[in-house]
Amino acid sequence: MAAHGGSSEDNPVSLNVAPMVDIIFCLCIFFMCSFHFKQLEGKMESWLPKDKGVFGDPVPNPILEEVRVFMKWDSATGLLTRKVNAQLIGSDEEMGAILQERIEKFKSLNRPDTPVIVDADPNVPWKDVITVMDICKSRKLEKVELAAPMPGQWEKMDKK
Amino acid sequence: MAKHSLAKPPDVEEATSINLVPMVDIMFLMLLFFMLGSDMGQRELEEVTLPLASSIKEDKGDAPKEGRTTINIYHDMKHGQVCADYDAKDIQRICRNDDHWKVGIRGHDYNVKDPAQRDKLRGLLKRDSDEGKATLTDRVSERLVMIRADGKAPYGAVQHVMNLCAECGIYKIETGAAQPPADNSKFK
Repeated sequence: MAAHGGSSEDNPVSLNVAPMVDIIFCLCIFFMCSFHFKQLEGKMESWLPKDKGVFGDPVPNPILEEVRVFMKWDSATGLLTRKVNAQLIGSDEEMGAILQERIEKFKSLNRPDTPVIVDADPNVPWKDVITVMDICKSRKLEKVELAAPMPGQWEKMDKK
Repeated sequence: MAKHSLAKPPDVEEATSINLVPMVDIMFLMLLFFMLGSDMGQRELEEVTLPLASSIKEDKGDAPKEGRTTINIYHDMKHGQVCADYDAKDIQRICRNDDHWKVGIRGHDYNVKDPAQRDKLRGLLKRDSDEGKATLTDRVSERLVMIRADGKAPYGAVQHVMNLCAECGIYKIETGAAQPPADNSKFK
């Protein structure tokens, strides 16, 4: 820099900046090629139960009255079937309305803690499970449970 | 006039040089911008097409003092092979080959259907879980787990991971989702 700038006569000690420029160029190219902005992502918080499931005993009396969303995915046709208890569901709006109506009924029966249980087939795409959770959240139904297979069922499922 | 035109031109060497100082300044600024702006935390995050959900909280990546473990569930094939049943952009093509779905933690892949790999994954989660316990005799850990599963991933894979977390005493689970494009303004 100084050598080219004509000031080397004034200042006998000069720096050769060419290698530095080369290195900075390389670094710049590296960062430009590998650069990508941090993606904005969201999250849903869900706490697993501490006192039931793998730690506790099996539920002694199955609750017969519940709000359960059944989801089944047919891998041959790629079609998803959704039911709330026994009722077949079409659109997301319909599901939201039915879930809200059922939970409201339980609230009026003095059972405000009744959860929505999502009982999905293991092949169901995760996005469809998230859609149901999203419907519940948007309707302020905060208690959502994900049904899990009974102990020992994992091994059976793996063998299939 | 004639005398002037025949005269020798003055013997002056014109030194033409490029002043590198502004270029170096600009390059330094660019370097700083890219170094500070680039996200070097990508090792934890695999390329995943997250499912869309409108009622989600923005993930600022802040972890509690007990730490956070990010688990990715994504479609992956070895040696650059292409799966005919999977296309991230085509919602109709959903791959259900268990060997193609991987569970990735800190750059390592595990197949939860393989008992040996599942044990390794359990061991890793157990270590993370122990870090979040006040004492090692505690049954539950305050460690946070973020599950970033591809929208097309089988629910069974997510169940497997949640089950392993529960076995290791981790109960604080977050599931990653993306905001639908029309609602992006919510994050700004």
